[in-house]
Amino acid sequence: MAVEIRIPAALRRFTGGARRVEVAAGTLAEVLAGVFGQHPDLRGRMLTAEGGLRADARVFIAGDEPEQGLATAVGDGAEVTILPPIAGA
Amino acid sequence: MAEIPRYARQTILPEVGREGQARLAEATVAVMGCGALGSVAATILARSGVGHLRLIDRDVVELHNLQRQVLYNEDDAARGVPKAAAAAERLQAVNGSIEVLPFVADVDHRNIEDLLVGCDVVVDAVDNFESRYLLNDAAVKHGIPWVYGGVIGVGGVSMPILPGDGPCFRCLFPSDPGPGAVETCDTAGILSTIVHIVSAFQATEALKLAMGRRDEVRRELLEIDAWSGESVLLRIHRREDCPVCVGRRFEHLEGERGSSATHMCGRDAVQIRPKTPAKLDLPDLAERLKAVGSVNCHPMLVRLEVEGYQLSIFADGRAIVHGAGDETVARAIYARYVGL
Ligand SMILES: [Zn+2]
Repeated sequence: MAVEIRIPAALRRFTGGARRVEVAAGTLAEVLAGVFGQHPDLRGRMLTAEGGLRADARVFIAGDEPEQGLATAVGDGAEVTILPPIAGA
Repeated sequence: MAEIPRYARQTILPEVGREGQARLAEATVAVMGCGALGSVAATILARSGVGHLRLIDRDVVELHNLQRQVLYNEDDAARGVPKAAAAAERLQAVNGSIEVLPFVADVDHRNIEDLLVGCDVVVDAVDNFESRYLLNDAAVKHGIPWVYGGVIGVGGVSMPILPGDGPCFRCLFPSDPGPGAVETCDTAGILSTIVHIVSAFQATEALKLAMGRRDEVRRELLEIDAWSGESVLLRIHRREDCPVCVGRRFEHLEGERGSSATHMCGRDAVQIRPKTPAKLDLPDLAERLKAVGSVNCHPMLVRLEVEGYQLSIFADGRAIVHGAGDETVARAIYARYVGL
């Protein structure tokens, strides 16, 4: 089993069109590092230069906010959703 | 034979009923922005019998709007009529028993309270984050529920915001992505079907609120992909340190945040300046803008020619819109192509 990350439509230009990315379970930081390993262009959209989560990039585990930020454990089979700010009308 | 009453198919629904219909007739709903989302939402609300509609928009109809902005036609585009005026005229003809008021206005911190106070709910259909933070400030200050909606490409999101009860928009996105940081429908494209989907969800929540059925309002953020058909509900929490809904500091409403537009003396140009300087990735912006016009990327600025305007965009988010003699036009062009 692994962790599945949903990539919203607005960010798929950074994943070559991929809707889902699979990586090994771990902390949220490790999971995201796994995603950026496969899709490096996504890193700048998600993380600050210091490596923290950008305030305008939201990440959810099983539909809820991670309780301990990047240190939150993401278990096998969990679904992670990335939510960018969407401005269009 | 007696004619079947106008709202018969709605009043037999247990979710609405005669009582709900009567509440709708008394309700005042503002639709802020009459582009794609606003066209659909306003149509649903007018046909459903919302008694008082305020339609607010600063733009005029253009041919490239017709792909998704369902209230307008080729004649509107040829004449360049204001969207709010055309929308009000159409919807008044659809339902003569309600009041539809157009407001052709560039919403800013000076006029937003006048436009929204007295509304039972506001449907967000604006095309930029600056206006949403402003709407959030005004709504939290005056306790007016509003429904966030955003679309881009084939995807979109929506979430009701109930001031004093759960998170506000600043809890969802605590910091403004800033000028040039997010893509706009004009640079990234937009599939018309996601507009209808997101707008229909927004209108559903607005109808509940207009009927006084606050307990039944969805509390999560809904993220939808029209192309794959997938959707997810995300639980957003109130932030203990939220400056708006916890601290009740309304920086956007006070005019301390956002951007200013200044007509440049003696020139057919307007300068847009964000109050907090941005850090634009100029090569990335230039790459995105290549899809819409002629682009030159210099070390210090990006120059874009589009729609007969020339924009000089600097790394701090400042831009000069040449060919725009009017501040409202310049702000609209900036929101459309740079994004804020
Ligand atoms: Zn808040």
